[in-house]
Amino acid sequence: MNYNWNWSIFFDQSPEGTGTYADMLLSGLQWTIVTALCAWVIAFFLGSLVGVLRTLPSKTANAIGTTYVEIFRNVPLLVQMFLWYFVLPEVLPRQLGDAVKQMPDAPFYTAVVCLGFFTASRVAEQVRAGIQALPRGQRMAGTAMGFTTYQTYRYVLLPNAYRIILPPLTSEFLNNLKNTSVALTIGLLELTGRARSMQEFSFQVFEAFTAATILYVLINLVVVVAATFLERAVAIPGQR
Amino acid sequence: MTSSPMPAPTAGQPAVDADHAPKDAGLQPGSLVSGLPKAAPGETMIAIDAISKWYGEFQVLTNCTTKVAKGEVVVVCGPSGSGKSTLIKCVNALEPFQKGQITVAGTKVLDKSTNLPKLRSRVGMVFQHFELFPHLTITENLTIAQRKVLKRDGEDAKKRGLDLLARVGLGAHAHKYPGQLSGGQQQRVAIARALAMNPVVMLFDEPTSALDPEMVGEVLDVMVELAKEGMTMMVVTHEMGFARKVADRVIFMDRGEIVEDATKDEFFGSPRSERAQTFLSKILQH
Ligand SMILES: Nc1ncnc2c1ncn2[C@@H]1O[C@H](COP(=O)(O)OP(=O)(O)OP(=O)(O)O)[C@@H](O)[C@H]1O
Ligand SMILES: [Mg+2]
Repeated sequence: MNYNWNWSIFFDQSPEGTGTYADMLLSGLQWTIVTALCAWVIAFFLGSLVGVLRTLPSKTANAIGTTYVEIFRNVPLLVQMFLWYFVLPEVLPRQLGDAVKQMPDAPFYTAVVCLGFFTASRVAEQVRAGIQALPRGQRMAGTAMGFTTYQTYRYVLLPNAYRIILPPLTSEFLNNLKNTSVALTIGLLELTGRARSMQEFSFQVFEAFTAATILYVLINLVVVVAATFLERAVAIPGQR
Repeated sequence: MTSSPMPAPTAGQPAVDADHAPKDAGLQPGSLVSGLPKAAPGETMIAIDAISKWYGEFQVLTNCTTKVAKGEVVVVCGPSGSGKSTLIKCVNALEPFQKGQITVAGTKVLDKSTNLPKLRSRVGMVFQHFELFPHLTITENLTIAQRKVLKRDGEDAKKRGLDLLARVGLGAHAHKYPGQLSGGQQQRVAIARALAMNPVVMLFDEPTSALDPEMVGEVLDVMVELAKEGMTMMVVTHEMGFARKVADRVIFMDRGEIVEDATKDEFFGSPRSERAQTFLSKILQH
């Protein structure tokens, strides 16, 4: 193979004039992390709400929850990204649509909302499974104590369900982190996008993507370690 | 879920090794019941009036009618699947029913204007599998509904909870989690948790049938004491010893019907129906 390895390329100035290639990748990493965290906030709360809807006795609530999950889980993320970014502003009322298009950092906000809504459907499934895994008597005990439905979920069902689903939620979080790379298609300057720019500018494709890979592996590692600590911190004494 | 064999020293005995066997003192003297509204004796606390219930096509309860007077202890028995659990779950509307009416302390269960959470907070319920909240300490289990439902002050709730915990002999376990207690201990905590709400009625659904035999006694002791203190109780159980000791009446159910509703003496002396006779002879053989 006729390839000129050049590991010192990271210390060269990038043609964008905003620093070295290393700076470029690190700023990409920052966007990746910030996007993932913001999307996760939406995913966690919206996903919990939708998951809860699917465990309520009400048929209407169930139907709403199921519809949400089926739509957002089954349409490919890339398609959703395009719908939010290119189609939504066109179908909105003219003024609102224009405002959306001219928003600074529009790719970022779009990516956050799109990923948040997408991951919410996956979180919802985990939350539903967690609640359904609890003994039926727990809901009854809460209700029998005089708790309202909201209180039963808030004080009895959810604290237990979250503990059960902590491992699958961790992997959903990791998926969410990786999925931020899809947003490069709408122009978000996240890590994968930045590695690609670096390759286009410098032709050092292997160095660029090796660095990106290492950075992805490192944040994954941080997340996994943090999740282990969290699991230990919320473990219930005397259980299993 | 939990059946770690743990020695339960009986009342009065000091724990052998304070480090390894935390004190379980069993039932303590003092009052379990407080703040019961004064009412005329003989007043009806639970009136079950011709209720019927279906699961889809399947009829679980057929035209059940009975009354529980204030201070009365009614034991409900019958073969598996006869609808005992369903019947007592209708009393606090844990299960909806389609026909008839139940009135608890003057409040209609099947009425749109009834505040069901409020009604339920005054009806204590004890389950076969205890159903303590596993993520909360014993103290939190005893106080959470007092605080969130009755809006009691945290300190008051804690005091009432710990008093009751001490009364059922488990004062030394307040800081633990349910998973760290034996089944019998968990069930006593569950009874204390229900009592902490100052219920006007207590419902029990086979409170001892998930327990190892050696732990049945400690739970029955608490229930007997409750009965003696005048608590109105509806108890689904096959513990005929308990029924003989404290029941005022025994209800026998079969296939969703109340087949027999008799005083204790009538029931054990000469049950009228053949089905009740067969059932009795079966369970008394054990
Ligand atoms: N959610 C449900 N859907 C359909 N059928 C049910 C449901 N719950 C209970 N049943 C049926 O209703 C009947 C009465 O049930 P229930 O639990 O009240 O019986 P039980 O007398 O308490 O029995 P056990 O002694 O086994 O606890 C049973 O035949 C049972 O299969
Ligand atoms: Mg039952």
